[in-house]
Amino acid sequence: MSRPKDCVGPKKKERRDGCHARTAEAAAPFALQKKISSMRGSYLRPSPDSICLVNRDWTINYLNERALTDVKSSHDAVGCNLWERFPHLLGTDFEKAYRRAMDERVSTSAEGYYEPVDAWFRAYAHPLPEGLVISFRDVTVKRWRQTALQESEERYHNLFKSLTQGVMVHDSTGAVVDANLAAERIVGLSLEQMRNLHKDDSRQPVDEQGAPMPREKRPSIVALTTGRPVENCIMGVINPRLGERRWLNVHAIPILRENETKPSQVYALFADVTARKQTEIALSASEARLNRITRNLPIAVFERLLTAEGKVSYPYYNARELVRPTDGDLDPRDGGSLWAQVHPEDRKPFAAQLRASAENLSVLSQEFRLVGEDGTVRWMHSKGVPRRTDRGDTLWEGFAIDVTEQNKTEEALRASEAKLRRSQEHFARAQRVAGVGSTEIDFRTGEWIWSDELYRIYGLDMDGFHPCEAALFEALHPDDRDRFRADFEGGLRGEEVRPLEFRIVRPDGEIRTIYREVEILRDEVGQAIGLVATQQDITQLRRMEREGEQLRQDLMRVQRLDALGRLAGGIAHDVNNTLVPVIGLTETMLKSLQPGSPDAEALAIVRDAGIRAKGLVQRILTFSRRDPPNRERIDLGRFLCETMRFIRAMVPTTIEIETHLHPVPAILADTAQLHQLMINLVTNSVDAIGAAKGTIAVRLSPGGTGTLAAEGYIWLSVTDTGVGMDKATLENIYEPFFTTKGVDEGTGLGLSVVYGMVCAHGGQIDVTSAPGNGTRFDIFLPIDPPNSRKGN
Amino acid sequence: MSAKKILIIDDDASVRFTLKRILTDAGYEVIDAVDGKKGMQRFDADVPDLVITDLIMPEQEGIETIIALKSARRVAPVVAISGGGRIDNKDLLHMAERLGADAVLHKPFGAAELIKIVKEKLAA
Repeated sequence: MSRPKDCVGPKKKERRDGCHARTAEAAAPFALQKKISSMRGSYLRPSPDSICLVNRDWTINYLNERALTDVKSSHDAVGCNLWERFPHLLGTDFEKAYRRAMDERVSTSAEGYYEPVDAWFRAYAHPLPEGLVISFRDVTVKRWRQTALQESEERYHNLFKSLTQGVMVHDSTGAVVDANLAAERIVGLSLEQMRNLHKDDSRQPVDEQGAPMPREKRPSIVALTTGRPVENCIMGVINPRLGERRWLNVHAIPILRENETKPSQVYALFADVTARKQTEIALSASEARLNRITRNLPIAVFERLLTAEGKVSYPYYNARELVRPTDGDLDPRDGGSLWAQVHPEDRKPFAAQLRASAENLSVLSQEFRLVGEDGTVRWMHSKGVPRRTDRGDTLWEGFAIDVTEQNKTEEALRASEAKLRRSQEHFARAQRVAGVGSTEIDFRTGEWIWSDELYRIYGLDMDGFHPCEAALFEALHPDDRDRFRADFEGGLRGEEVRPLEFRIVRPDGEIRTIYREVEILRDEVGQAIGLVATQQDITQLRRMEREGEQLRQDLMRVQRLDALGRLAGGIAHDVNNTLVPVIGLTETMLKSLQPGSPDAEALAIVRDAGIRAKGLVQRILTFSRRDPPNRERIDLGRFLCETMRFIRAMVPTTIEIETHLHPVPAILADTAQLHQLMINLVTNSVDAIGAAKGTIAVRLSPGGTGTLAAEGYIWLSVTDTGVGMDKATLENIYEPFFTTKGVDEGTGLGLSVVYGMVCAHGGQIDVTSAPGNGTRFDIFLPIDPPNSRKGN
Repeated sequence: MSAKKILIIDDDASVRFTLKRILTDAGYEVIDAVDGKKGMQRFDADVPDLVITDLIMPEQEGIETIIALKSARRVAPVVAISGGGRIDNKDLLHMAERLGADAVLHKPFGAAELIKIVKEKLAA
């Protein structure tokens, strides 16, 4: 049918195109025409291909219509040189193929892109005796399709390979023919092993409950036999690589070819749901456990539903031993089953609370009473969280708990708390009155508790102070810290701690003396778990004790000196009587003796010794106050001025004498005694300074800061920079015959006499001294009131 | 002019002896007694011109003696002598002076001192 067309094609062309006709006539020898005609069925038969005949010299002999269209050429190409007419062929695979066919006389083919028409062609070249026959076809579309198909195949293959889901392809016998990487990973088998799976029964999978899954139940086989897909089938397989069971969720999809009823293949898709399965198992166990637990708890867990119509029901309730709720109408007036167990007084509020909670979807918190069949009343506490259901009902999820005992306990607790509070108040008051504070340290928590009174003792503010070890040591007197620490650290280790007296320094600088006792707290096995320390402020007590001791010592000294005075006085009386003849008779006898004779000289010595003894007794009497002062009203300042001039002459020049004499009121005094007093004091000072350089200061002022109040007394002090005295010496200085000086240097009566004189004047004497720090005597003498002048 | 008569009252024999010797040497007639009681008897019997009395004595204290002499309106001057208090710290000599003793002397004293006082009081 198409052949005649082809045959007339050139003729038509000739008609249309003179050039072509001419060229065809000129270029197509008969032989070739004949040859072409003889090639029927091979090249010139009606074909969608383009045909081109080329002479041996590459002259184009013929182009069919298709070729003209394909290469967008005209008939005038006939007769032209192929390479000249279609220069774009040069350098292409086409050129190589054509030339090879021409030269080697073999059939060749080539495929390539031909730029002038922007298309792909497939060309075949066959040698002819006269030249070549070239057939070619536009393969652009085919090629595009192929590429697209290739890409598509690749894409699907990639998808298949890279799916995280496992995919197995079973053939119509159920054997595995292909599988992706995910499948290999999930089941732990290679593709090869999977292919042999149907021969191996040892790898039998299990169903969701763990029972072996026979072959006919497996999803792929089910899909094969029924021709219907199987979805969400859970099965367990052993993964030999992991050595454990993996749970798979399998979909099996049968592939049916057109017009076939039996599937040719099954695609099994599966995901590893082991984790989910394990969670489910755990969840289920947990749920079971929860049920077990809640069933045995005195807590009722419930779901309560309230419909719009006011019907109450309990879809879930666990603890029926506790309360047996019944369904019923919310309205308490009907006295229905719902309310049977609720205390009549609590029904109305109960219903109101339920309604309010349902309306606002607010958390329901109730306390109500249940009345048992035997009339026992139990207090219940219930809480529920409401939500609205799809139907518009209200559903509470909540719990109810029996709080009867708790309420009773709370009542008792409140009473006990009140008692405790009273007892605490009492305790605080008692601590305040006693001046005893307390600390408690908990070794386990490291917590320190101070009682209110302890804060007060330490002068600390409860708000601004945090009791701890560092803060405590900060409050301690620096001199007592080491002593305290030695004990304290033992206490923290749980060792018994002895009572301790120490000092603290309050923030305002006041020093307080504290007496502390510690008790270690132990648990039942004797492990130290804390300590309690009481701290008593004994500052006042110690002060009183010190003052008492001072008084006692003063009293003892006075008594001792008084006794000594009596003794001395008694002796003095007898000695004085004894001295009467010694002095009187020697004087009388001396008169009768020749002056200068040995007897007269001897008697004179006796008389002088008697006179010396008389002086000694006189001093003892002065000390013992048996010798009364001959008092007169004097200006002590003026008196001292004169006396010190006289004394200056007695004192070595290495010693400086300072006088600070302030005007003072007149006193009643025996000037002879005062004179002696000053000599005695200054003599002592001179001896204390010795050969060194030093100063003696004499001060006189109205009143003093010593023991005696300023009012009514004048204050005379004698201070030296001498060696000072230790405590033992100080205690004895006024005692008669007590001396630190050598046998020939002092009588031990100097300060005794001073003491006696001061006492005889109604005054007082104090001494302050320390070794190396000099000595100061403070003498307080009563002033003579102006109105007493008449009496003397 | 006969010698002035002086009564010495003292419980201490050595004191009596010493005073007797001093005063006898000085030309006085001396009588004595060992305590106040005997002294008063001696005074009444012999009527001395001057009395020298100790203050602390066993039988009758000098203070009592002085009071007795002065209250009896005896005219003889009294010189009180004392070696100081033995029992308490009362100022006996001072007290004696206040009670009417014409002079006081602390024991011990020298012969010249005694004679001077005696002469003064006898002349008065």
